[in-house]
Amino acid sequence: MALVGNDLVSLQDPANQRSPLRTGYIEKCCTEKEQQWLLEQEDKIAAFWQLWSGKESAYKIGMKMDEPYHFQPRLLEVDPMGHFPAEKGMVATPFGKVPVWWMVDPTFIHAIAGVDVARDVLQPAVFPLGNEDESALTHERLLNGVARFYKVPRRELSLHWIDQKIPQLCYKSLPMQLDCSMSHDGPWGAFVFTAYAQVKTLS
Amino acid sequence: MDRSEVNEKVLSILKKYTRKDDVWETASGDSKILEDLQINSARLVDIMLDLEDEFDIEIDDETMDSIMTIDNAVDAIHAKMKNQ
Repeated sequence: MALVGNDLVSLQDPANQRSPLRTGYIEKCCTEKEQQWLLEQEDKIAAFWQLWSGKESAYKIGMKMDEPYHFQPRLLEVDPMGHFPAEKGMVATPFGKVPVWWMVDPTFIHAIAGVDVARDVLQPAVFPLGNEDESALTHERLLNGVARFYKVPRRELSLHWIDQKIPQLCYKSLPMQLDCSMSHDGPWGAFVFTAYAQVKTLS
Repeated sequence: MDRSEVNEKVLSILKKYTRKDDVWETASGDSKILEDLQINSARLVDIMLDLEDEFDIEIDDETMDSIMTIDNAVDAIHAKMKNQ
């Protein structure tokens, strides 16, 4: 089954503006090759979050593998194909190379990593969260998005959790052969799911 | 520095990074920093830097990888300080 992972970083969050400027922060997160790439970028803070979001999105796929590992930023090396804001790149992980695609906005970066999947069958969305419960709203937006795409009633869809952290989409309480991933940061939420036209009719 | 002093300082650093106070109502040594305290992984790097500054130690990748819970953090720091 195709696997996806995503990560959203708010560029408006003051902590996200501060952290990469701390002495030792970038060194703890980035390999030497990544640090070299960062030196060549004009907007180093946003460029750092491009690398970070690539790592996180690939890591979320790693969590779904048979032998999951803990998140160690330097264990995952991102190679953006071009200068910031790169549109796509590759992440070297313990389970092989994973393609990653980015959507870069002045206020956020959304990274999507995928294994055994082409970019055009991924259905991503980024949305503002307001003051509501971030996780609950992100879950709801994902389920609504899947319901709309597959033209099924929202009430037939649910999310189950594997090991309390891996989301599993279910239709009529049965696991769907679709993968999904969610993320939120500051005022933004995001999701991605695999969207196959050939299985568009579920019922 | 004994373990309870380390524990107190670790908690005070972690509290700087939790966005919701109610996560502390049910927190214990077994609480997972990312899941239970709802601290995001980018802030975890900030926490490691704060711990290094506070205790004058170096936290390598392997140690960072082993820190999942509050107790893991306290134990790892306590062990490093004893070995110094």
